[in-house]
Amino acid sequence: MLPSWLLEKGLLEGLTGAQAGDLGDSWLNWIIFMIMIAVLNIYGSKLQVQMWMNQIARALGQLQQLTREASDTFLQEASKFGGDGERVKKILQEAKGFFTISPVTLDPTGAIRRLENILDEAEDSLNRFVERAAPKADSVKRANLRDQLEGVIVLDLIFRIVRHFYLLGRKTQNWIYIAQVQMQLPEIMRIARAYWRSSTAFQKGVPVGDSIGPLIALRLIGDAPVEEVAKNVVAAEVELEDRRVIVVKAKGPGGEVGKPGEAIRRIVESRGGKVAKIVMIDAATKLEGEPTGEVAEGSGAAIGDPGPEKWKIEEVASQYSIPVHSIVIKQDLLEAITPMAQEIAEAVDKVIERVRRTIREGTKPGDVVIVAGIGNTVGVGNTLGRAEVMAVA
Amino acid sequence: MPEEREAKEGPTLAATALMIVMSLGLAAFSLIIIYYGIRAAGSRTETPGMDAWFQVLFGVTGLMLSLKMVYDVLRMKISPEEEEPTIVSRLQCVDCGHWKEREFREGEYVGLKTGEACPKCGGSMFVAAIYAKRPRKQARRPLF
Ligand SMILES: [Zn+2]
Repeated sequence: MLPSWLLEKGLLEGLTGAQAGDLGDSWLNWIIFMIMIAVLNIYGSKLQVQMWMNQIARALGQLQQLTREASDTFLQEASKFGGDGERVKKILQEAKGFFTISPVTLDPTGAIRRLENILDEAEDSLNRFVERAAPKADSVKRANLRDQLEGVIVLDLIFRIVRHFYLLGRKTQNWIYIAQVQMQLPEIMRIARAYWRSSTAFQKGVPVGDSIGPLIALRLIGDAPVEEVAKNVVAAEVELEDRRVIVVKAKGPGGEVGKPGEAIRRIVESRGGKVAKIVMIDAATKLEGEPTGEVAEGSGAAIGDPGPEKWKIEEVASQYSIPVHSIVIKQDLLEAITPMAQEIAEAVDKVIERVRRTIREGTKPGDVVIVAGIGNTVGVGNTLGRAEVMAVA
Repeated sequence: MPEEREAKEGPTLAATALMIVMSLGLAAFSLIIIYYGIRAAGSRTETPGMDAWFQVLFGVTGLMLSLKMVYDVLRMKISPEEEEPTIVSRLQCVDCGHWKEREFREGEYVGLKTGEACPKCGGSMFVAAIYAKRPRKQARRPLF
């Protein structure tokens, strides 16, 4: 049972020259044991906080690295399109920390319009940053660079916030600051890595999970001609299930989301409200445990914008009593901004099946139905097998 | 910037070194304790008492603790590398619907006619989808 051969050979005895039971005196054992327990009790929490601090410091290093890599990718990409290294660096420095201030809602009247105004200006500002950084980029490349720049800004913000709590905790020695960051660290890092990855997706122009809406819209459009109906939104009329279906998507293949609400409002109004149904297709945040690519449907406008576009759709739909039906494809927050997972891409046929059924239900042959594929259209063109947008309004 | 550098490297390196030295020390101490414990327990001249077993137990606990510490330090050092998914384009034939996957090429987007000919009927192919394919099929069977 015991490796007594080891003892009999006397190998270890020769090395240590000790006698059996030297350390076996019970009082000595107990004193060592007690001292260790006492030390751990008194300094345990301090040690714990120190370990948390170390973890956060390491994460900070990684965050800085991710931010730097995303910045470098932006820099490289911008310099391919006429950006000068030093100047792009300066522009990046100016763009970092870019913020938007939400409108006053104490007086809710017109808050949506005020919000839209602010968001428009935010987008324009970012576009101007990109135009200065990469003057030779075309509209597709400019949109992708803008999305890339947004990723850098978010990564930089995450880094700043974590650094803030780390330094605050170190300065005040208040473990609450340390603990709250440490506990959230895995999630923070997951989000940061997703933004870092999304920056490569936008650099290469690869569709992300959120592009599933436009991708399905494109499949419905087929090779029908499209026209631009609102800022960065295209539409095409196709016949599906004997209905006249107007398919709406953001104008690709650059990373645009466009103003689909504006487009739907214009289409409905131009037809005097004679629209039988509005069907919206969008990516939706899944609950943990739900499989990626699961399809669900429901009532209401599925669109994850900060408010204005959704508001326009709801307004125009209620004004003309048009039912709004939504079909969503489940994915988690990170899948939505990183290259589209195969499970999501393979949901396309299932969704189209449901769209066809939804178009039939509650409408008559010959009715007009609007189908909107909502989301960022990066890497998704406007018609199958055609290189360019046919008509631009 | 000096603040940043310190935040990034200062405590991390020192702490790592300290952790490794401490766990190695603990491991050595534990081994010695185990050795004496086994000796005492195994000696034929005395009746093995509880003390000897206690010593062995103590040593094994210490050894496990030090292994755990080393493991933690190593795991922190080697950041978990996520498997990079490969981006593939799914090309589909306009005429016969035959499709194939191949690696994504920069500049491609869904809906683009690539100019490649369909291996089955020679028709033209377009990009029907672009997505991330995991290197190997992970068993992601849901528990519920
Ligand atoms: Zn073919």
